[in-house]
Amino acid sequence: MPKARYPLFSLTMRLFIATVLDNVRVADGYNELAITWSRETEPPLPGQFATLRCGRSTAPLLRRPFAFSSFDTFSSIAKMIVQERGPATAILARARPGDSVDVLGPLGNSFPSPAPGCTPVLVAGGVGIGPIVYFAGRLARLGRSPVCVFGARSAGLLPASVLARAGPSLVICTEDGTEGIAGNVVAGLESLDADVLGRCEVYVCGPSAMMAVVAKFAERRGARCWVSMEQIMACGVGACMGCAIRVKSPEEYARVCTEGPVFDACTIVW
Amino acid sequence: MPAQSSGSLSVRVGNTELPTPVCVASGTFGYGAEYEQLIDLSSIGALFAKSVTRAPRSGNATPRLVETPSGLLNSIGLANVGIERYVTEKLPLFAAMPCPVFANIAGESVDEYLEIVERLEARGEIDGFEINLSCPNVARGLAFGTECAQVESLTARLRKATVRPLVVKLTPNVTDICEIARAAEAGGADAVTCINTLLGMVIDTENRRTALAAGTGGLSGPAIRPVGVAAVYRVRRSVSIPVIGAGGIMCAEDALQYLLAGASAVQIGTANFVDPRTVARVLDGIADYGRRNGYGCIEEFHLAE
Repeated sequence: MPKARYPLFSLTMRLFIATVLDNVRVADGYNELAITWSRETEPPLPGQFATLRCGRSTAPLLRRPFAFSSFDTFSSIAKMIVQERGPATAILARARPGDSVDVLGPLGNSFPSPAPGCTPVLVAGGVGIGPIVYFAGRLARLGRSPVCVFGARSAGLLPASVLARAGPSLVICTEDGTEGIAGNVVAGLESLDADVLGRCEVYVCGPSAMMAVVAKFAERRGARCWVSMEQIMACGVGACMGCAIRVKSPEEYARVCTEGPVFDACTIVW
Repeated sequence: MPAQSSGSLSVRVGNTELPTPVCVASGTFGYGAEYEQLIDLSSIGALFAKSVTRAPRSGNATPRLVETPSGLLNSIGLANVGIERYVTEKLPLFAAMPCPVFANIAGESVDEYLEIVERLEARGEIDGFEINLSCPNVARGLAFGTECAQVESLTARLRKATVRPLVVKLTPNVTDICEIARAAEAGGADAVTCINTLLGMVIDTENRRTALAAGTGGLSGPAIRPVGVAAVYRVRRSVSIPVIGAGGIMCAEDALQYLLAGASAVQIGTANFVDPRTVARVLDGIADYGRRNGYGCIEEFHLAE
């Protein structure tokens, strides 16, 4: 790819062809895709995403965004969790080792570090488990001892192999009670020690409704809360204004691909 | 700012030469800087920048996008910073572009269009103007683009305000695009762009509401290519000014359909989202086709009348 000759922003994204190394079913309807990450490209950070071309035809058409669930610097292998939602993700679910995949990334911002003295409390559900687990691993290596609260409708939807990377402080919640606490993630949060909840910084990624209740929970306890938003995307680089979400700013909208996907929860208009 | 023209594939629009016949469409490329790490901007014939309006616009309620069969329906709603911040924040970006930059202008009144053209005419960062008469995503957006007398008089007013290339972007959401094209030509346009998006809608039957918050949107992408090619074919036979073809170009083959239909240049839009390499591939394919057929200039691509 031609190098930028007119660097106006310090963007670090690249467009490149990666090789699929592995594509493992991790839960009902969820795969974890492992790809070679170009060594000429910035290493992806927790919270960031890449857009993948799904197939070579005009249908499906748009690239789809996927957040990183892991990145190993030494081997330059990146992983993403793919949930089968429609024709595009169905194509990715069938990808096999050796297949090529067209990648654009890394895109977006990343989860900011927790303030000194704050315990990071990481909450996730669905495909949100990917980026949150990646972040948990980072925080653990930095000695920040993250506490994780993950939720699902049922045990079969939990990606056990991915959860194993979440660290020792993990609370599981299932709505049908087939694993862990019976209830949603708020039940899991309420089960945490008072001293953890007393001085924490919350990070949440998952279904919008889940993030909204967690944001409210954090607000009631005076804790800062970061959310990772999702929106249908076209360009992924901030050019088309398609992935906008409503925020409390003079501009009224922010782009999930550029100002996000990570936002301070207090700016979100739910 | 324009680079040296690359020989026979350059295209004259008004008093300006586009170095190559492959441009990028307004609304799909932001203000150019967003893609500069991914695309060699010096190979672009012209950047048609995101529409600017007099007042800042936040844009439409979300969601603003939905995919359709081989297409994309959008209702961005002309989200832009407005002319004041366009001048202070975006013109410096354009100055650093290695390709010509055309400002795309949208408005709700003749005065609004005129004010913006006059404001930008005095600046050196803009190489030309593309007049957006046809965005389906604003309240009265179709008002100007669908009525001949209004198109001609608006074009004539703007013609007096600029010596730079004046391109009028035509909407396909009309009964006869050829008469609108003739009106633009009569008003003094240097070229017309065919086509803008088609008016469309997707309904989410599970949630019982429109997929786009704003209701209707503009359809782009491969599904509309035949509509664009037909428009270019017919418009070219109605006017003498150059026609810039746009609508669903994904590859060189698609662009060649437009050139053979009579376009002098093309714009790549939705394809930039799918594969940012599209501009380079289309340019290579056009050059290759020209070489194989021994064409010395763009006009030789056109099918005979």
